[in-house]
Amino acid sequence: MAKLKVMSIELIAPLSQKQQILAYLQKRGVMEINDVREAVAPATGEGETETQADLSAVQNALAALDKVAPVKKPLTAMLEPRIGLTDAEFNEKAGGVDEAVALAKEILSLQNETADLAAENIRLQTRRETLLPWINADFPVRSGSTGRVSYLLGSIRPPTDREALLTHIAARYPQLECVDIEVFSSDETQTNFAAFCLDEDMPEVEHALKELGFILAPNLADDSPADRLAETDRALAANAARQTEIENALLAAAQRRSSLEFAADALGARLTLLENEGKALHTERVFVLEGYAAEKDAIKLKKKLEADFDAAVEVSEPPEDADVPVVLKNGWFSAPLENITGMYSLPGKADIDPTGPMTFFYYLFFGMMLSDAGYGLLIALATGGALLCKRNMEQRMKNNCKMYFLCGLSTVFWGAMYGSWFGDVGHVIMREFFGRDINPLPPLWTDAVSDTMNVLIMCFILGLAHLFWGVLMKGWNDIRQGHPLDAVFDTIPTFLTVIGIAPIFFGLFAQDSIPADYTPLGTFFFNIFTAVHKGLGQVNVYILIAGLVLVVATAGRHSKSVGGKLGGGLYAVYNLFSGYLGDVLSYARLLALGMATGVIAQVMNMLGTLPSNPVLKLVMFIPVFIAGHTANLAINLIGAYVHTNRLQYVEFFSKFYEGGGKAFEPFEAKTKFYRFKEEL
Amino acid sequence: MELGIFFIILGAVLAAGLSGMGSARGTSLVGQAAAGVVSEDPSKFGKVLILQVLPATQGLYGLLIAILTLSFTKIMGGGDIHYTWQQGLAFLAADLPMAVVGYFSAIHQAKAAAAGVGIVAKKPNESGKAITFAALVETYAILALLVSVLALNGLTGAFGIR
Repeated sequence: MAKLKVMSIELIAPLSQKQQILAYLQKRGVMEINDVREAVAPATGEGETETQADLSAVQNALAALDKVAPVKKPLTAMLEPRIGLTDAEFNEKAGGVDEAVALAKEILSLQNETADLAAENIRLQTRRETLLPWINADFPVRSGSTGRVSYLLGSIRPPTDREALLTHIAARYPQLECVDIEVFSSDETQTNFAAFCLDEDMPEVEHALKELGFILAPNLADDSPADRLAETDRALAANAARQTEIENALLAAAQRRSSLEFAADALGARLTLLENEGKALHTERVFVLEGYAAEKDAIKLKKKLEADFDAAVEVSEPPEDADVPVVLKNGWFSAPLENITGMYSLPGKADIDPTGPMTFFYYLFFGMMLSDAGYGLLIALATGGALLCKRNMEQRMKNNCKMYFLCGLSTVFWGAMYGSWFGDVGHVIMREFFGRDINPLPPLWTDAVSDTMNVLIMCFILGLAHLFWGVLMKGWNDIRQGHPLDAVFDTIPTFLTVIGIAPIFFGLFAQDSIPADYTPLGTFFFNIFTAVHKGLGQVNVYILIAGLVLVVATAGRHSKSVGGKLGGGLYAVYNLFSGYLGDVLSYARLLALGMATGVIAQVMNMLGTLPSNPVLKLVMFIPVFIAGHTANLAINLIGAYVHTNRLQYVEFFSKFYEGGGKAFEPFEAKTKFYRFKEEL
Repeated sequence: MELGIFFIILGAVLAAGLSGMGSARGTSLVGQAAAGVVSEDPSKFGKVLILQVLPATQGLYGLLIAILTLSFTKIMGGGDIHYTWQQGLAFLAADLPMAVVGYFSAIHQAKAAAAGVGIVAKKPNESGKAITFAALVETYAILALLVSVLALNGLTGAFGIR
């Protein structure tokens, strides 16, 4: 399986049926509609602005409700699918959309009022605080004059008392006789008071006070501060009452949340429909839609449309130069990896779909890099359980679960090969809690930490296989496009050269002998490797020479001049050596990341069993085990994912894959809560 | 205590310490860029988090080398151990690739990842490419890790420790 064949669709139908046909197409969600309008400013469809406004109102109202009455979602919520609706249910609910929009607008106005109230509250609180120091004054709090007597209200920091103030004024201006001070309040920061004197003495009194740091009070109240305070408190109480009222109203509105959710989806769908309606061409009587659909969908769609409507549908091969969107279709194992391909770039015109070819190595490498059977088991159980219990998951979620399930299985495999089950937890428990120094879960193959060299060679061999597989894909693509000679020249010389050089390269790492107590599987691998290595070592020079000659002779074949051909060939030799050396070394990450997981897991186990008291040891071991392994799993999971992708993108794809395809974006209702889609 | 053990521990400390410092600086650098994106669009948290974690691996590699050094030389696990200062220096040298390359590659990887955060902000669908750009830098940390592991392995063999 690979890229699906995509057909071009042209539809002509009476204008009167336009709405029904568009709604029909949207529900099926199998056709992408082309914008065939001339390149002018996109016209806004009828009602598009209003729908957009309604949609934002509903979305904002939902966000507002999230703050007031957050919906508590269980951890498994993301496994739940959207709610499916039949036509009848949809039409019944659709009648409630206008009401929901009204509700949304009401919620938003309530939310605005809450914001206003909050601002008002802050204003009132500030006023209250400034009034409090003057609460004992039984006259208006402002500075002024009665005509004979002037009075100043204000405060001085740090706090002082009446005597100190009067003494200071008397010391500065002994000639002033009629001065009095009344202190209203005093706290740890300041003293609030009024100063009285004759009008003509005012400047001196003010000057003397300013020397002490006097700050004039603002005009707080024209009537008595106590009355003003009471009024402020009443306003605050009224605000609080109104706030509770609004909160209750919002909580009541939250009960009708599902109608808002439906409205959000329905309005979103209507908006998409209106946008796509604008892509059609019109005459007075008929309209024309152009687009793409996968071949099998296109044929079904033609039949259905022509039976149910007065439409003429033409399905044809898209023209050579058209930018046809790409639909991928893969089997159970590969389908989850379509996302990974999509993240790089979808296959372009000349490409095959790389998803299938990369599948085996993807899961294999992921397992090698996570490489702990305990972690793999956890992942496989969690995702496998989800797949079993929640069969109606959304497709995307299902694919993610499948991918991690398979990655988990592969991790179990490699963990068992390396003998890593939550690090060395079996051994640690036996030794620390049962006093027996045995490892109940020994590696099937070998321990990656102590047997680094042999594991490293295995990584390089797997890497080489991965790279050769990529080169084969290049050859296959050449054949597919009718260039069988290119297929030969692109593959055989590379294979010969690399196989010729490989024994020399591996000789740098290979060991002469293995320990006597090596595992049977390890001995088996080692013997095969040694046999192939020795066998190849006797003829590899001839293979290398043949390969080099072929590369020089064929790599520059697209050049016109003889010099160009030779230059291209020699350059290809250089590229081959530097490229493959770097590429193969890059697979060392299979060992490095795998070893990192295992060793850090062992450290967690060691930390957990540090105390020598057996009870304390157990008490400490359990939380350290859980927290430590969770952290190790999390960080290595990301590492394994990222570096598996990298090996595919950089090492594998670069051998044969161009990318640059356009994603197929069918005209459908992109909804969040409900599902309007119907199978064709 | 002999000077040999001091040098071995110094090597382990440098491997874990320098790589850890590099990773700390690196994750902080990417984290700052990531926080900017998340402040605009919290739904991008998952995507930028992967980018932030990328330069964290050097610290792990450093830790790995430190542990391997201590366990290969039997300093961890105890026992009657003696090393000459030349042996100690050899182990120290084996740890240096990871220490030095770990430090610098984490910071440089962080720069590539922080730039990648910009890709996630503007074109969330292209985040795979952002990850790849940053992952390319990590190759050199992995190669350094490999050299350190091979050297440690070789030394324990040469000194007949295992």
